[in-house]
Amino acid sequence: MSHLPPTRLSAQFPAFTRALGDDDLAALSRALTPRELAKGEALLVEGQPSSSLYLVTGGRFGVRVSAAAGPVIVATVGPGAVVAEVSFIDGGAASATLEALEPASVLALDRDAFDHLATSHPAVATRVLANVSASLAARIRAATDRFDTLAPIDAIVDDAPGILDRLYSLFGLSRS
Amino acid sequence: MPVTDLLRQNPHLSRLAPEHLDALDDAFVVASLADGHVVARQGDRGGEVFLVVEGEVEVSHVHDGQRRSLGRLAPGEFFGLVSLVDQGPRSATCTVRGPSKVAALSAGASALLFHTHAPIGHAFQRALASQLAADFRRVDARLRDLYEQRTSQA
Repeated sequence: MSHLPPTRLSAQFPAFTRALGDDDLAALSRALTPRELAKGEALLVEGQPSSSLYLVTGGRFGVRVSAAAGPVIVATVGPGAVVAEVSFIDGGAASATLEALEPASVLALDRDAFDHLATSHPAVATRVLANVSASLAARIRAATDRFDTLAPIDAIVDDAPGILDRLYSLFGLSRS
Repeated sequence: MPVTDLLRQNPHLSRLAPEHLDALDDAFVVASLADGHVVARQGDRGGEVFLVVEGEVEVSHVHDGQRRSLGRLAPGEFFGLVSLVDQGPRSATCTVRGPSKVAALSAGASALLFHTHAPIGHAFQRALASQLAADFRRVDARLRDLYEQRTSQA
């Protein structure tokens, strides 16, 4: 597969390419390496270090995590997905295994290519980091919300406009 | 430890030229805070980013009047980044534990600094992304533990 034309890159990955102009997109596009995967091939392996970010351009991947009871497929991702952002930033272990469920294709942003981009087009690299940061922020908000349904409670607080206040006002009670 | 030393210890900011590091240092305003002081409150608006200088900061999340701790931050760690990045309300409450010092970088100061000094903006964006990645891993690891506990209890 050849490089995606810049216009297709921004159409398929709007959040990742936000606020990048045509010349910026062309520079970013040149930093991306196309890669094909056969059905059953792993793009990422849970627990193994990774330092590339991947844009999924074709095919679907199963996202598998290990649990005490055995591996579980927690999601599938397809074209338009941006994966491995956390490892791209910190070079740490992949938090899940991504395996191609069918013949698939990705565009890889390797760390070396990104560092080269940061030298040749620093403003583009800074914008890409800002866009990845926005995605990480959204994932932190989502994870924090999930946390509420699972974590033990440290304290009941009444300084926040919570359900207790709504119940009190509903029944016309005053809080003493 | 002075803010400048903490910034110099950050692997991304340490690459900055000395005058850029000084400019970043100058943009931070340090406050000494008493135990229990709330630096950022969940739901509030605010675009400042904070740096733990001395002591500890607890990050907690309130939902339906129930508070849960997401963890504690040590000197050298940044917080308040989610709102800086997406301009949304504070996603969590950050409370000082024990007498502490916290440095604040206002949204206006950071925007001006990064606009006039692109290398500072780039290095700081790398530092922000790293902190966000660490924050995500911390929440994700706690979530996985909780899922495992749920599964083993069921």
